Amino acid sequence: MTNTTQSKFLTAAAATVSRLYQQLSRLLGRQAHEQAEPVRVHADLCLAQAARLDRHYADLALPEALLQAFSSEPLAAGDTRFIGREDQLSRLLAALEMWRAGHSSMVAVTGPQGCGLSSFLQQLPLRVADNESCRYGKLTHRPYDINDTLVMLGAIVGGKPSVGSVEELVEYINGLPPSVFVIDNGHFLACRIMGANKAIRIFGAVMVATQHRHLWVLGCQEYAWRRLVYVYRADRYFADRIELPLFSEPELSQCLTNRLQASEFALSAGSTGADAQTPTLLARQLSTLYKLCDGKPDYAFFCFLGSLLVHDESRQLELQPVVAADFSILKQLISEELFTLAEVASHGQLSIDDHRAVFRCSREESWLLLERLYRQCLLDKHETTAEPDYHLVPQYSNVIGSYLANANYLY
Amino acid sequence: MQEDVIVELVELFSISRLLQVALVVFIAWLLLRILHAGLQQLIKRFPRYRLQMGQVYPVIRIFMWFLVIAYIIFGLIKPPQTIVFAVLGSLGLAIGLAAQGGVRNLLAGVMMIFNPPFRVGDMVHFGGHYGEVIRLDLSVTWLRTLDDNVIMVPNSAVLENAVANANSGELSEMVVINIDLPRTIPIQEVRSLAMEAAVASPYTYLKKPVSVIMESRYDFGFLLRLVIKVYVVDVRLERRLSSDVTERFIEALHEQGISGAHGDTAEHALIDEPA
Repeated sequence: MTNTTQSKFLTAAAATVSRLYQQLSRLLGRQAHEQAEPVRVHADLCLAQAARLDRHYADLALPEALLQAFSSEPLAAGDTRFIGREDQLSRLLAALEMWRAGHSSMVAVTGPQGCGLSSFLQQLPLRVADNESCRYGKLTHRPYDINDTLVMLGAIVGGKPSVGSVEELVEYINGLPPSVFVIDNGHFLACRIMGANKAIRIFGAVMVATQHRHLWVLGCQEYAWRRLVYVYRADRYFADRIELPLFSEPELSQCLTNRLQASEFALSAGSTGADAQTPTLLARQLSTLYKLCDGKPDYAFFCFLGSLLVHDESRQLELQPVVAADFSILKQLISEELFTLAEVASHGQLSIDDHRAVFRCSREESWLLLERLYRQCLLDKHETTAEPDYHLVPQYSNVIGSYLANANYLY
Repeated sequence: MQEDVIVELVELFSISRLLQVALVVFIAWLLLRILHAGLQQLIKRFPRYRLQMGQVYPVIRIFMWFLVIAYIIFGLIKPPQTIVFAVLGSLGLAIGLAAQGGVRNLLAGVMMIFNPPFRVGDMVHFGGHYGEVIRLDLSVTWLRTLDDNVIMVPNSAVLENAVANANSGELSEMVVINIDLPRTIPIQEVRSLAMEAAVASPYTYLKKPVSVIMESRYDFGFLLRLVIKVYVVDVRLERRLSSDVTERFIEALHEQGISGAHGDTAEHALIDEPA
């Protein structure tokens, strides 16, 4: 080989190595510092935790009307802030028509946590005729035994305070005038705790045994629904499963615009954007916001509110660049912590005793593990009951869920 | 004639040529290291696909070294035909006489490239050992057993013995848990508890079916063998799942008072290793 050929070969090899390195670095996400627009990173994930969120908004001096308009609480029937979901509502109405025509039916409404499942279910009473009854009930805990199941179902159908047996309850429910029963928080039925199996089967059996008279609508988070399908073959019993996806970019835009209108604040430079509805400043940030939150409204509200500046006198808002959060802490978690997060994600929430039952560890170990994840701001907790319930920080549930699914802890 | 060949050989291996060969080998080695490091990063980033990504590297490495050797011989050294034939003849004789086993392993390794019975990351019974395939070379395969021993198995074992692959490129695999119980137990209740124990374990892969079957057997007395077949979410958690389900089941028996009610205790149950 001549010297020229060799030098060409070496140059080509060096260039190939360099290109390969660049491609790999890009693929592995290691070139953030070379991006034209540097991304600011949240130093503190904890700002989204309930205990810190109010303080965070207070520091930003956001007006109460704005906070209320962008609240993540479920929207009541007829709330003007409820947008979209036309296809899903029409499928729900079709199920309602089938039921009116005398067909037995149960409908499941599923979606990722924070997609607006409760708001969607609460719109159903508006679609029910005046002479029809519609009862909306929320599960508040998971049924651990048969008596618990009977009491929970009795409360949902608005029935007797005490029912002795399953047969008695079925007879009672079948004696009620035809109604639509909406059950929210169905994730409480996806339970991996020994002993709860029978209680959950009976819950389903009562629904099946009374579906020829009543329409049952079960709202359930996506991962919990998958568990119900894998373990109990729940999909075999439901006539339809309506999936609520996260918002698309236009839907998110409409959602934010609606909420801004509800707050009676306006973004400065208040002329409208390309679609004649979205404020220009919002339109500029919308794409970034959408990429950050992946269409998840509560996370979008969190990012959006965090980047607002309020001018008191003019009631005008200024939108600063939207800030990305840093989830690299997920990469540092060990197997036990990832399994815990996965079970919290699919159960919706876990108390210390629940965690102990799922993982068969001591109470102290469970407490330590859950508290550690809480301190890392991946979990939040309700402390209303005697024992706190830990759940994923709602705004981050999608990011955490995707990470766990990719790492094969959640499916 | 032999002297001429030796002289030609000496001329062929000049210092500059040897340096070129070393450089090519170094570049190939570097490329492979980069590729390996890149794949490891990808595996860390997308753990769900670790088996699929892991199977790429051994094949690329072997082809890369084939190419490098071919380039060194025919691109850099360019030996005259007489030397090629002389070297090939000598090598053939030497290999034929001294390295029968090695050639056999190499051939088996080549065969495994084109028709792989397992991939890196699979759990296999191979050459009398059970474990996870951690590395595939041209002549040997490295396994990590459940006791964390690393075992080198010659590839020729593929030609001589059957190979059992527990997961065939998937992350989940079936774990069979055998538990022997006294014959006096209430079968329906025990079966239901076993099923619940299997589903309750966080390491169980619920997408695939769980089954519990009973078999009758005799071992110093009549026994009932409970066979729980359950898929584990990741092959590396096989032992953990097996232990977890067994513990849950035995505890549930205690809680239900099943052992005491029939004059036997759960401690008498004989628990087999997972198959």
